[in-house]
Amino acid sequence: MEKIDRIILGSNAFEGVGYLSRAQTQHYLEFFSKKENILPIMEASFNLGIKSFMCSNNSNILQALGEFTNSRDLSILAVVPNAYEYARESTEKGVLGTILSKAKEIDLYRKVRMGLRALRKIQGIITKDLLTLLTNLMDFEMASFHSHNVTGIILHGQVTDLALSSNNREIFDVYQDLVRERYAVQPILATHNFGTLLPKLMEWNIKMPILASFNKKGFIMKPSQEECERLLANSDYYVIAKKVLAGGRLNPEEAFPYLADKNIGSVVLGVGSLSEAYHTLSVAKSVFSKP
Amino acid sequence: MSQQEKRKVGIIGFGKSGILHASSVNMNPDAEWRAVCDADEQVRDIIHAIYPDISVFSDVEEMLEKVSLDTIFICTPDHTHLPLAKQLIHKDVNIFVENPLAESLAPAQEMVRLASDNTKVYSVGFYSPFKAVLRKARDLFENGILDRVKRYRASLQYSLPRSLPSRERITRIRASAFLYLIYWFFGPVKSVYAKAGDKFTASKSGASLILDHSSGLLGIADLSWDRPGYPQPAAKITIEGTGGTLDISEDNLKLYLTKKKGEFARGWTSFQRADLPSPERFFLCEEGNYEGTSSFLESCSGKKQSPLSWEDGLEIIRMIEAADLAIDTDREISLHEVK
Repeated sequence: MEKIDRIILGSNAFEGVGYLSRAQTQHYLEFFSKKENILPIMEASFNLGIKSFMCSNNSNILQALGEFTNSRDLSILAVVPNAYEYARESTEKGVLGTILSKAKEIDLYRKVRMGLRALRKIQGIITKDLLTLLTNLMDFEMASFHSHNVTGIILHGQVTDLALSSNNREIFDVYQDLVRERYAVQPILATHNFGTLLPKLMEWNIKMPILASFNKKGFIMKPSQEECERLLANSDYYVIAKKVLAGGRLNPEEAFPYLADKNIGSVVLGVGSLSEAYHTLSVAKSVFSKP
Repeated sequence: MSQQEKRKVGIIGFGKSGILHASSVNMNPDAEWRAVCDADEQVRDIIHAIYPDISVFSDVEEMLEKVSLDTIFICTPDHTHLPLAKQLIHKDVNIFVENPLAESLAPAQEMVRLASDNTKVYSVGFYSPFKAVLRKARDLFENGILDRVKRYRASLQYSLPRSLPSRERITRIRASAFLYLIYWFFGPVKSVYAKAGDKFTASKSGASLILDHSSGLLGIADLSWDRPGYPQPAAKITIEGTGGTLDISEDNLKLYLTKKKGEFARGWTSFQRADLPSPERFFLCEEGNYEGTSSFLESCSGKKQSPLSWEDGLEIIRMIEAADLAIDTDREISLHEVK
């Protein structure tokens, strides 16, 4: 497995995702619609020694990344697909309709710009349609990151959880093989259902790092906080914790000690302002950088 | 639960809500998703690829003939609900219909009439009761935390591109879900007065409703569907009582009390989603999706009563029709007039 940094800067706030109130979401959407407001936070984080950044292909973030002086030294964990984009479009076409139209839209692009590479191993195990669909979608999403140092690809939690509920291991096999063979980076699964996903992956003998909610309040830890903690304690999977501040309900001083003694490899921290970045990331460094 | 006792589920329509129900059913130990019917050939092909064990059909009748099913989720546009209900109602199946119940009053009334002759469970897809903050707020309200309730003010804001062909349909779905939230909190409405227009942006894309409830409570509801910066719908309710106020949204709840009451001190107490227990065992895209499906399945198994009936769906459509009529005639409309 590729090494993943202990502390990762998240991008939820930059994408207008907040859990405290609609006013906060509204503020994030407006404030971070300007790349000038994203850049200082990225710089502060980088200067504090946080060299990993997790984000989707949101256009504001990509613009900020494009102007970020140290972007070559930044390790990007790309989240695919850009679920919020799909959610907006799917009000009109439905989810599958949106995926289908995207797939059609990008097919030509893929052929012209990227060419077709053989994926013999995968082609042997799944239907051609599904492989083509997933390959097209992945290429489309990843094209935005072509000039960045992508070290891992994270399957969005909504997609992982839908795939998990399909009980179809092929989807997970295809995903990890695609990421490893086509992009030569680390595949990672995000989920809101750690307690269901982990046993399933173990049963299928599929091993990938998992990005899952872990926080003192049990916020979105499914099926329950106790079950997630029990599985985590006995797991040999690499786990990246998200929602560690319980959607903004905990401050770093009370949130991080809960994680520090758990079997957690990395933490993702989203911040919504420059002062928050200095505070949250400094506390994180003092807690998580201990040997 | 043995294989025989499991609910045998079919899904009609595999758009967003069809996918969510199918996924929820798949994760429910008391149910088994067996078949799906969708008119789109490409969608059917993808279902085949992702769910190789599921029987896929383009025709509802064929699905019912070939697969043994006892529970159906109708996830197609509202104008198809009555024709499908007519097809299904005599097949001895439980039926879940996505919100709104039907496209207008007459088909909704017909659906309720059809259902009244049968003993199966007929439910409609409203999700407010499955969201932790809203549930907590309603518990507090029901238990009289505000003493005598004076009035409430509710709002729903979102923005939809004007070019969106389904703008009207989506608006109707969202308005219906919002009015259900009001109905769930404050009970049936006696009369409605309504004006077209958006209170927030002064555009015409909205409406303001004065709702007179059977309980004697009066409330105002403002709807805006062109509010810039609101890509996702935001619903809010403020309830004023003699003992204080409740500010409610899906994300948080703020309670203000004029004097200490039970465990709550005088002044402000706030709850966020993260503070409240969530019974949901699986999280699918949004809070309440899995529990909404599971709750219906449990009521089909007789484990509990369905919290959402087709009668509730009809009541919401009557409120919408009354509001439309009030806007057209510029007068207060009693729900008795909406027949």
